[in-house]
Amino acid sequence: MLLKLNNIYKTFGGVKSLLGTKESAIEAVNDVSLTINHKENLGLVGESGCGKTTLARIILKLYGINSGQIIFDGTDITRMSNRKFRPLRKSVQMVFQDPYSSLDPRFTVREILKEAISLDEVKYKSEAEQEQKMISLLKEVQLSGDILSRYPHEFSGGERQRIAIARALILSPKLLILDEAVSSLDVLIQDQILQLLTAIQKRHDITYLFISHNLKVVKRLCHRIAVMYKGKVLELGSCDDIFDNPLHPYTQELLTAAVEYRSTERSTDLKIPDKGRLIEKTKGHFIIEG
Amino acid sequence: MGNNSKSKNQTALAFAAFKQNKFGVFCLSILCLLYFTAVFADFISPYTYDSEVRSHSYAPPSKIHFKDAYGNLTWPYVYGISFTFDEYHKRVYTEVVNEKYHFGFFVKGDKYKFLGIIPTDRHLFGVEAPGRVYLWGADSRGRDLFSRILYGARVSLSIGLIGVSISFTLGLLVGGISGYYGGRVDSIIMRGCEMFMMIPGFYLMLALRSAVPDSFNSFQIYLAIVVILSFIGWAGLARIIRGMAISLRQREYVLAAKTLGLSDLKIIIRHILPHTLSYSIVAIMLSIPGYILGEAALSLIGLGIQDPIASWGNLLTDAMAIAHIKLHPWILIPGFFIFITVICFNVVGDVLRDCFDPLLKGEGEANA
Repeated sequence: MLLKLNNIYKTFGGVKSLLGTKESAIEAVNDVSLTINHKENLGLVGESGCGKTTLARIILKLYGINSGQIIFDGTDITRMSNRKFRPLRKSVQMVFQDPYSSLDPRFTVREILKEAISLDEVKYKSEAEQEQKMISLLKEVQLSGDILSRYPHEFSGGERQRIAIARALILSPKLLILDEAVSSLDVLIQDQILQLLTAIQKRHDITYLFISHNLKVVKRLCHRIAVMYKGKVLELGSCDDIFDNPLHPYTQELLTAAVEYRSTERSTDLKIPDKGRLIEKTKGHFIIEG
Repeated sequence: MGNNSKSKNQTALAFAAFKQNKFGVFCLSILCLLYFTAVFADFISPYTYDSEVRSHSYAPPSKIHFKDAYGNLTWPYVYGISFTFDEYHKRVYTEVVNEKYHFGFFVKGDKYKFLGIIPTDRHLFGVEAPGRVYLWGADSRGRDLFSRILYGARVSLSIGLIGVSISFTLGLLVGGISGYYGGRVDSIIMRGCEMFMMIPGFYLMLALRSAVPDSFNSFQIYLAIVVILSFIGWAGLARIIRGMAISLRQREYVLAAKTLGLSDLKIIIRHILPHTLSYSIVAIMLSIPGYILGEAALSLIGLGIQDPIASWGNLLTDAMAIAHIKLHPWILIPGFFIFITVICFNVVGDVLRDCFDPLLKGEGEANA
C-alpha cells in the first residue's frame, strides 16, 4: 500500500472573526477514505468544485486537515511538521492543471530543472553532470536538449506540460499526482501526453493519482476510479466496474455525459447522505450508502 | 517575443523601452553626472570642504576675465579681492587689479586623499596661490560654495541610495514573509507596520534623531540619519509587497516549488519577490527623493549633518534668513541642486513605470 487516506475531513472558512461573527464553513472534503496501491493508478473523477484538487493538495500537505489520517508508504504524515516532511516530500510530486502558470515565467528551462536537481539526494559533482541529467530527462519526455536556455512563454501548452512532468520526475517520486494535467490541452496533445505517461510508468517505479473530470481520459491510464461529488466519494471501483456497471446515479450521469456527449438533465437533486459510508457491493466495487 | 534565438526577459525589454524615451534618458544622464561628480568631488572641486579664508566671508562669485588690460584675449584669470564696509557694516568686495591669478589645470592646492586612498594635492582646476576662485561665491566663513556643493552631493546623494537599499531589503523581506504566510503572521506583521505608518514621518524622524547621542562624530551621525530615514520608509513598501505576495503565493509555480520541497525563504526570494521587481524598481526611483529631502530637512534645521561637513541641506541653513538671500543670493544654489535631483528621480521613475506597464498587462494575459 502506497498511500492510505483515513476519514479525511477538511473545511474552508468558518473562522471566528474579530467581532465574534462566525461565517459558515465550506466542507471541501467530507470524510474521504481512499487507498492507492503500488503501481495501481487511481483516477479521481468529479465535476469542478467537488474537492478533487483540495484532496490532492492535502496529500501534498499544502493544506492542513481538520481531522483524519494520511499514511504514505507506511509513515503517518498527518501531523508531521514541514521540516520533517521535507525529505519525504520528494516522493510525492504533482503536475498542475495549467502549464502556463506552473512554470515561473522568469526562469529558463535550465533554471526550472536545476531548482529540482538542487533538492535531489543524489549530489551531482559537476555542472556537466547536471546538464547531462537535464538533457536525459528532457529526452524522456520527448523534448530536445537544446531548449534549456529558453523561457516558458516560448513553448506550446503540450511542451510546457512535458517540462512540468520532467521537473516532477527529477526527484524520482513514488506517487505522481496529475491534477487535470491534460485538461487544458487539445485532444491530440492529450493523447500524446497520456502515451508518454504510460511509457514513463513502464520504465520507472511510479504510481499515478490522476485527477480529471473526463472519464474517457481516466480510463486510458487508471486501474481504479473514485467518483467524487461535493466532497464525498460516491463510488469506487475498478475501471471495468465503473464503466460497465455504474451503481450510483451520479456516476451514470457522468458516464452518459462523457461517452455519449449528451447533455444530461439532472433528474433529481442528488441527495448525499451525510453519514454515508462506502459499502462493498461486489468485490472491490464500493458505493455510498447512508 | 521569441522571434530571435536569444530570449529576453521582461526587465530587459522594459529597459529597451526606456531608451526610447528621450526625456527619461536625459534625466537619467543628469543623475549619472551628479553621482559622477559626487564620487570625484575632492578632485573636481578646487578646494576641500573645510578650506576657509575668513576674510572672504560671503565673497560674491568671482569674475573670470578673458581679456587683459589692453583688450587682448588671454588665458582666463581672476583678480584678488579686498573689502570695505559700507554704512550698514556690510562687506563690499572689490577686485585688486594688480593681483592677477591665472587659471590652471591640475593645480596644487589643499591636500586630500583621492577616493579616500591616494594622498595628493592636485585639483582638476584652480587658480595660482594665494588667489582664490569662487565660481558660485563663498559662504559665511569664506569657503568655496562650489566645492562644498560637490562635497555635499556625496552626503545627500548617497543617503538616498543607502537609505533606499536598507528600507527596501527590509520592506521586501517583511512584506514577502507577511504575504506568503498569511493568517496570523500576516496580521501581526501588518499591525506592526501600521504602528509605524500611524506616526507622522517628520515627527518620528525628529523623535528618533533626538535619541541619537550628542557624542557621535560626523560619520556616526551620517549613519544614524540613514538608519532613521530607512526606518521610516520600509513600512509602506512592506504593505504593498505583502499585497502582491498574497496574490503571487497562489500561483501554481509557487505551489510547484513548494511541492518540490524548496524552503519557504527560498520560495519567497526566488519565486515571489522577483515578480514584484517591476513595481519595486519604480518605487525605488520614486522614493529616493524622499530620503534626499528627509536628510535636507534634518540638516536644514541643524539636526542632521553638522558643519563643517557639507550636505545640501545644511548648506541651505544660511538661506533661512531672508536678509541673507537678499544680500547673497548665491547661497540658494544648493536648493537648486536638490530640486533638480528630486525632479530627475521622479521623471526617471515615472518613465520606468510607463515602460513596465504594457509588459505587466502582457504577463497577465499570458497567465489568464
